[in-house]
Amino acid sequence: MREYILRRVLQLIPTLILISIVSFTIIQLPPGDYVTTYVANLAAAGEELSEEEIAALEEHYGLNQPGYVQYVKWITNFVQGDMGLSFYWDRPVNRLIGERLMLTMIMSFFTLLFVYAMAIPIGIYSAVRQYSLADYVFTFIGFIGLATPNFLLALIFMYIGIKVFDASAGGLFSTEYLDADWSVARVWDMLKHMWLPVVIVGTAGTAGTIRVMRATTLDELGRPYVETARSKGLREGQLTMKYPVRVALNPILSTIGWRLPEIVSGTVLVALVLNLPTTGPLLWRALMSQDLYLAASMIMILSTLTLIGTLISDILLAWVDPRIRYGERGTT
Amino acid sequence: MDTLLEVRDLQTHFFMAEGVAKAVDHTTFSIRRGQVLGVVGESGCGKSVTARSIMRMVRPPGHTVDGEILYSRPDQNGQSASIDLLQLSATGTEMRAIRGGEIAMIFQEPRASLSPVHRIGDQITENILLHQAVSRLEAEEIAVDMLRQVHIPMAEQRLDAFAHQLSGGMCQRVMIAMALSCHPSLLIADEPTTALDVTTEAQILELMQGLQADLDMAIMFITHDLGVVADMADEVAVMYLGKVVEQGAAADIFRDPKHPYTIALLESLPRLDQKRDWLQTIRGVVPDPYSTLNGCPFHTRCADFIEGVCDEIVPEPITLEDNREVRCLLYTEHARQERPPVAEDSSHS
Repeated sequence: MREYILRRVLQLIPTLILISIVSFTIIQLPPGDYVTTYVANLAAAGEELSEEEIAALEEHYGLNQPGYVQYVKWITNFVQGDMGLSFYWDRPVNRLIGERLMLTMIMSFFTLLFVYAMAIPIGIYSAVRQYSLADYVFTFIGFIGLATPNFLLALIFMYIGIKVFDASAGGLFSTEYLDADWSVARVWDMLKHMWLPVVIVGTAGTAGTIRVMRATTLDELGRPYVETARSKGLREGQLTMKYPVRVALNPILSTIGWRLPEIVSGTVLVALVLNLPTTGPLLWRALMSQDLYLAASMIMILSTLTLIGTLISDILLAWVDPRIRYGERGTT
Repeated sequence: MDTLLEVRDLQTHFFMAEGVAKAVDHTTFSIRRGQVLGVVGESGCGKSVTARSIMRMVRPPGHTVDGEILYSRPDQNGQSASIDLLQLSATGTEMRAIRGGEIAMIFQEPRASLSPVHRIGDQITENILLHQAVSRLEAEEIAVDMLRQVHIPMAEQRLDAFAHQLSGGMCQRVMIAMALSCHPSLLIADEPTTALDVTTEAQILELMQGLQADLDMAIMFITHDLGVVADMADEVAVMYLGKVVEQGAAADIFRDPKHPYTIALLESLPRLDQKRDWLQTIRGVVPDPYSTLNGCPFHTRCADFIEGVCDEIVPEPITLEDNREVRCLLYTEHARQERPPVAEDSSHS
């Protein structure tokens, strides 16, 4: 097992290098760069820049150098923990991302928790009581959850929040805590604000996970080993939890890895609507304005999270499923 | 000899969108204590559903709608008392104590019948702990002992193994060890060797015969392989379309089959001592399970079909000499009115 984990961690390195090159290149692919976008925006506002001024800007941001030089500079600093300067914000990327990344991760964590806490029991129930009234109700709600775009849900919740509960459903902090230092009160304030985006972002995930959990549990319920368990005289509830559910959880565990980046980046729209200080809107703005280092650094972080997530999934899966744990030697 | 299990008029139906499939339809047979009953019949004739009905493990849309399953066991005074399993709640304490404890079952696909993610030891001790008042440690000792009894080498180490690390034959041995760990009085074996290769099959059959004699338990051995039945069974019940059409001592049935279906089934066996260019088959196909046939279920394919009798009257089981039960109108008054009985002069030998 230890050897397996070590090998997997080492395999991350070449993958990450490749991703860094690709992501850096892709961001530079659209015609122009930050300065052209900037100049175009100024021109739209009726302000003209001279050739010298543009050249000076390019010089300032290092955009006059060839792409690979920019890449090498950026990646060298990146691995040392310095992610460069954001053109748009004119601030170091580190400072920009810092708190947002932490808030995003806290939110992602609660969203995951919410999704699993809701979806797994409902999925099991739907499978065991297939075609019951409750199954139909959950399926109906599930499809609505799947089919409704999250941002629309966010708008509806905001409306309800303001109309019914007289609470402003936006942001993660009350005004008085917005720029305050971290304290117990601030954490409490954040948690009070966080449940709403967690529910909104989690709804689609919950709906999807219910479907997966229901389908895999149904699959497993018909397996011969379930019949064996029943033939032993186990209680129905006991045997369902011990055997089919245990096996049906595997695909859920193995997709935890995909959820990490999905939740970080997939909530851009909701975060925009709800005005959340998370990484989603930041990435969106960085890509819009061709803010090279900010965008590249964030994509790098997302990719790293994806890979780490996949690694965690694989380790979890090997841990819970002996067929994978023992098969590993034969396949490599 | 005393009867361990008596199934009377068992009816298990599947309520499907296409209609009601009468998988088990007025099945009547009995199993004697310490004897092997071979249940034979082609696919879909209701053998497995009968077994699951006895275990009270029929899953929706299947339901056991009527009948009696009389199971006799010694009561507190040592007297034999019989209870109707169908009167018990399928998921209740009493039925669950019988299931796995007194009536155990092994299945067709041994590897799939073991959990892929639990250790062999866990699965065997689970059964022991459910039915016996022993500690986990004692249960493990019993499990090791059972694994030795089914000739699994290095039994202690095997407790930690997973199903996928064992061969199919080994998995079936584990299943047998698990099923017998609580010394059931009846083992239901639902085609336990069908998925195994012939060498392994022979070993498993030999093992089962040995254990049956040692533990003095009855076996309901379900198979479609007449050769296996000839090898294993004391008694044979032949099923066709949800009914037992003939039951009797194995030797008698093979020597002198009475029911036209049994006769046809035995004739369709390839034989080494006869040179034939064609394999004998039974004409026609099994009727679709949703159809409602009048009369005898076999009349559409029967070689001795009597018009106006077999397609109108439902045959009841009748007892012939040497305790043979046959469900056929040829042995009743109805047939004699039409023509002399065929069984005596039939040329099947």
